[in-house]
Amino acid sequence: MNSPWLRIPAAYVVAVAAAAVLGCAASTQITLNGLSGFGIDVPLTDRLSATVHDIAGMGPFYAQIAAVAFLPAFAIAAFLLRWVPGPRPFWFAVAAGGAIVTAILIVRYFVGGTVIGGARTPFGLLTQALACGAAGWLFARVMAWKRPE
Amino acid sequence: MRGRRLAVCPGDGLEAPRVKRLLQLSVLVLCTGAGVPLAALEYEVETVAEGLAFPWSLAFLPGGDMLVTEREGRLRIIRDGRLDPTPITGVPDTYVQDQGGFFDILVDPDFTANRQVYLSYAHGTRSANRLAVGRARFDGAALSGFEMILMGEPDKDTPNHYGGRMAFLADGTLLIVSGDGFDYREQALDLKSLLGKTLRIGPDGSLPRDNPFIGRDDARPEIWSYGHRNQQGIVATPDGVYLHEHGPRGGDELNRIEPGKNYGWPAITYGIDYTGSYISPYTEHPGMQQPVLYWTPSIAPAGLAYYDGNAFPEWRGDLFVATLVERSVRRVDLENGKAVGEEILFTELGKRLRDVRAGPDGYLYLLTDSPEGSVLRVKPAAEP
Repeated sequence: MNSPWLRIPAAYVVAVAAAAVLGCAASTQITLNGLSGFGIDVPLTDRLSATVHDIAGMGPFYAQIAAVAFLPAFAIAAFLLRWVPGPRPFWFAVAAGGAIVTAILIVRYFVGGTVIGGARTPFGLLTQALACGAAGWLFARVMAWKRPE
Repeated sequence: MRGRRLAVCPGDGLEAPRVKRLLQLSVLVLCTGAGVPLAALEYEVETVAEGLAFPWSLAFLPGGDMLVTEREGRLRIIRDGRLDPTPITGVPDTYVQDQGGFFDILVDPDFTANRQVYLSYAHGTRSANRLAVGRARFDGAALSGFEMILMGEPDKDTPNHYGGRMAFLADGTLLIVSGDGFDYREQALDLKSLLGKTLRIGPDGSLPRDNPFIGRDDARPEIWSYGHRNQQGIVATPDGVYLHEHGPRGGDELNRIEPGKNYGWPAITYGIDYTGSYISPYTEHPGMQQPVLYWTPSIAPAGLAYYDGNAFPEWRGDLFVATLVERSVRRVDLENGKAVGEEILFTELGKRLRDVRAGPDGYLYLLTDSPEGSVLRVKPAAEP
């Protein structure tokens, strides 16, 4: 794993997988909260099972969106980090969060609606940015990981 | 499975005009509940008009002429059996984008005396649009005196899920279905929003005093029922009002509508989101109505008719549902408000069907959903 040719794709796959799991889980909570506002109480067990259902159901779709969005975002972030000060995980988190918001808004423009149900409100979009921000942070951490000599 | 003999008198890219042929087809016959398979009938399909850009709705005028809306904002007339090449003037501007444009056209029950027609359409801009309904006087060539009688609220910035179908009740009031706007689905349960509702107004836009939420501070007085997604068919029958609505992935519904009732979207649904996630994990909840029928996978119901004509006596009292995805018409046999049988018709046409209407001549009329759309007429097959 000390070779960048292994670390970069490994970190990318980890980031995309993390984005799919965290993004879907966040979307589920926002969607269920929307029902609670109309007197539909969703118990914890239903929340957990719905979250697992959505990760399995929406995860592959979400991973495709994240995979496409993260590629240019991480490339641009890596390029700019030659001159930008500050911790690399922070900037990769910003890049990933910004990338998913951009991707969601572009898809919304072309299909006429928000395909990720939990991203239909500004707060929902923020949770998606945070979920993918965590994935970007993970990307930087895996990139920085080196096996002891 | 049962055999059926069909006579197709095509146009619309099927065959050379006026050439009839008999097809031996197997037709899927479905049963629901404790019903029995429905009897197969012989019919023929002929082209009334073609070259219509996404025709959306059809209305019959006294004397046999027909008005047809085109989604791209034109109103056409089929006069003496031929499509007039000149669109009717005097129509309102509309917002044409994705699902937006002209929707339903309805002729006043007292048209002979008042010459009024009613048009539903998308109004506004990309960033702020809504369902609108207006009425105008039609003199046979142009609309005049167009006045808006309903504006959907709140504004939305999506060009989808307008609903848009209309029906008159026997008391002369007008039912209008308003979709949830796609990104605004929770508003279907919000009584302060007109999204995701069935609305009831007078023909002049006035508020009927017996609407279920009239006088309540926490509800809009136009609302007749709520908890709907994207309803594209509504019909008043002797047995009550029925509407169908598109589900997301699965969960298309046929509902029998009663005033004041909650039909559950998006809190309960038999469908899931297009991405594979839940809209809701629930299919039932106290105080929320169950559909008469639901369809999973989706058939995309886009138009609804109640048949009480004489040309097909076996079809009297049945509902007909035009479908886009299944490219069919579903005949639903109703008994006492319950669906006891279903039959899939007209799949041999291979066309997305936007609307189905029962004509005053007893024949069934279909609109195909295409930039080169057609009006088709279904008649009993001629005797050999």
